[in-house]
Amino acid sequence: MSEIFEGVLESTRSVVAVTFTVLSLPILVYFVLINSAYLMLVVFSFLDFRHHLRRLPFAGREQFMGSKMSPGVTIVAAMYNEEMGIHVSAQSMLSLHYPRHEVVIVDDGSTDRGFAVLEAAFHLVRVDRPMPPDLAVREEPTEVFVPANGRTRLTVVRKANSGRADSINVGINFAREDLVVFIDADSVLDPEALLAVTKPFADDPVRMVAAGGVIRAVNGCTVRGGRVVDVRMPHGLLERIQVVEYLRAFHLGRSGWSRVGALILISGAFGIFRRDVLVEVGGLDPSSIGEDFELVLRVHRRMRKLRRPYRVQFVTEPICWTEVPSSAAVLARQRRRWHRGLWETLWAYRGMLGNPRYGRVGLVALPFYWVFELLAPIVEMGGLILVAVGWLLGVVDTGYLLLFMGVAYLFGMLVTLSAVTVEEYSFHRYGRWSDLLVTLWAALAENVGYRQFTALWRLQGWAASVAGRQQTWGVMTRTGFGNDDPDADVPSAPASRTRKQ
Amino acid sequence: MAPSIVGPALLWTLLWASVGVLALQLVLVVGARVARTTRQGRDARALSPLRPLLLELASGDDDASEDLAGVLAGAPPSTRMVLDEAILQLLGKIRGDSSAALVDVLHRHGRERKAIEDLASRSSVTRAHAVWTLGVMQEAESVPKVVPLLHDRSPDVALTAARALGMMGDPVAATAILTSAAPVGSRPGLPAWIAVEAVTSLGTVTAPQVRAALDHPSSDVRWAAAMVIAQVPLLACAQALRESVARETHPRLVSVMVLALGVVGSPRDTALLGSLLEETQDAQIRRAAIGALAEVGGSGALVWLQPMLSSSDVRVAERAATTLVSLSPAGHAAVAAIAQSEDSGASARLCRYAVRQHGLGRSRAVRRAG
Repeated sequence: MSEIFEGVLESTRSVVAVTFTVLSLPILVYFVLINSAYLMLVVFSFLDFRHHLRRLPFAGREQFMGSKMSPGVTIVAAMYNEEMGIHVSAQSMLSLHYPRHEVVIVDDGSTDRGFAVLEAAFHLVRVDRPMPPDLAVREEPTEVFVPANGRTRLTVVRKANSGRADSINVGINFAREDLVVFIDADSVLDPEALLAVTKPFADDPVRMVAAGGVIRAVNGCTVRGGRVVDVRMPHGLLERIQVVEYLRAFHLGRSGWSRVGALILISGAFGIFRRDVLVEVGGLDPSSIGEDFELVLRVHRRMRKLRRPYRVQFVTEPICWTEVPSSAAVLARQRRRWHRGLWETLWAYRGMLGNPRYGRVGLVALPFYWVFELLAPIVEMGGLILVAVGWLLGVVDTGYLLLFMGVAYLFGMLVTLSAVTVEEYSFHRYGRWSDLLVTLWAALAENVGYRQFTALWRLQGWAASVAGRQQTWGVMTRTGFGNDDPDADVPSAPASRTRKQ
Repeated sequence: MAPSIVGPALLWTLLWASVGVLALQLVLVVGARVARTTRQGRDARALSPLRPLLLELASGDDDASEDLAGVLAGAPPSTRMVLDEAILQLLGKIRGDSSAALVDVLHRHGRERKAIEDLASRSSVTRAHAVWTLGVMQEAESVPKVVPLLHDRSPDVALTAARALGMMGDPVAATAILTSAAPVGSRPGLPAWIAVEAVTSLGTVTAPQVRAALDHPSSDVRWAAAMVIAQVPLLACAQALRESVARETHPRLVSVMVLALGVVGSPRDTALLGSLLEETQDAQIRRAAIGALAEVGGSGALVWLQPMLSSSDVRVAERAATTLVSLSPAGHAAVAAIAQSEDSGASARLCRYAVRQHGLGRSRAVRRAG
């Protein structure tokens, strides 16, 4: 019996040894390539930031604020059980520095007091405004409300629950202005955000079709009157790591893609689109899990097919502050959903992959997303499992294992630290020395545990999609911005609320 | 042990290289923070004794402005750079006598000479900064030197030049600014809004140049000219605008010209604007025509706007309803009559919405008056 066992063990050892011999180089090369690619994006973004900051003193933002030529903007926010923070968010959206903007909040069948909070805060009255049928929607609005003062440019639309994408489409139909900004109802914009994000549209009104802005974690910051007044690192390690991760992946990564003219992902938490283009492409797809990603790819495909000159740009400075998950369970759900959305969208648009007709989007950005975003968790988990099994079977010795892992993850740390370095040279929003030290610590800690778990969750999301399991949104626990007093000076994590997404 | 293609020697090399770069990055991050805080502290210390004088001079209410300017002009060379930048920032926000006093300080520091030299710099940032300096200093005699930069290879320099020319206030630059909105080959021209803002700030004396720009081959230039007519407004361009509206075909252009006609036109334009309300017209033009009719048509607009309430385009109908309720008592009555009907169609609902919305605005005004 033991001979059979020994035989099986020896065969397994041989298989693992061969596999390890064959795969160790490709895995290492993959790690080097993925991190080098990120490093290049960081360099591109640094050039972009430098260009932006050096011209900022004479960029004419004050003039733009006072200009009658500023394009009108409609901010559309979908709300589902946002009772905790909707007053602060609405206040923040309405008080942005911009000469001509309106806010449309679509209540997606909330079951909490979210609407009652808005009704009381803005003295809402019901009006019988029909919805222009520009985009087809799944759920028609049931009620439309406006503030009783007849002056505040706020419209609150109520409808049965049909998801965020459908709610945003309802908001687009109600929008009166030429540009539409999507923002999550639990996010807060910097006061100058609209000025900065609309300027490319004013400068190039014909070609600009969409733009995305910077998203940062609001956790740990102090929010007063719907504005972030004190920027601090959060207390929890999980949130701290996400601050660094957002900086690397969302801020610098997208800025880099914008610099090379191949930005294909604009976050739904803060994106701006030309309204006529949104109507032309049919708005957000309510059946898509990665609806923001899908929309941008659809815009690219449409513009390329029609051979229209167009631009999709990332704007480096305006900031949207959003809450990042503070528990592993919520983070896991988020990452599963993100990766599932990534896979389903990439698969749906596989015809664009490597297709010269779609320019840099088809030849550079999409291959990158397939190889370095979609496949990354497979390679990472596969590599980890292989070395772990090899170590257990005695195929790989401990010293070599540690050396191999050390090299692979040191590259990752190098990229993240590069992002922190660029941030320190450019925007340096976290001004305290203690915050800088925490940022550096989080950049290193990210590689021990966090990366491996997120890789696992991403694989689970992908597997769920391939297995055809239905997406369940679950309950998203969020902390909100505090109480309903918009003047209250509160840190961003005093209470909790649940959100079903 | 498994023989690996990736030998330990290679891995050790990569490891130590990575550790070295990581250490370098840590030094860079901390060094950047130290350098920035040191520089900010140094600049703040240099400027702090001068800041009260600067703010006093900028407030413009001191009789001793000559003395203050003298003190600032005599600032030690080590602080001049920081002081000049602070003055340039202030000049971007203020106008009048106080700005003249601040400009005087910059003159005494030789900033306009330096800026003129920098116009030929190889760095686009330096050129843009130089142009901006001349603009906020309102150096009108530098206009001929700045105009060529409207076609600078760097778009940032070109648009800063346009804004600077607007600040300098010499109407001779109007044609150059407007025509720089035209694309050159595949390169886009100056952003139209920048051209409009710059020419608008030059005032009504630009009417002949703007009128001529309405006939420019580039649609971007014609668009900018129509916008300037609406913004200033340039009544002298009304006739040329009427002819352009009849001639143009592009919806974006026609709608902006219609908007301008609403500002500088007269009741005699009612028929022209009314003809643009037909269902066959582009929705953008129809909405602009509704607004323009309300501006110039007076009671005569009612005849044209009332049928729009039943337009199949909800946005056009909504615009007509909200325009009519605030146009005149007769317009309000026309909308109210439909609103009070039992009809549940889109037209009746829009009228009810318009009346309600108008009522909300009015009740607030009444409360304020009370």
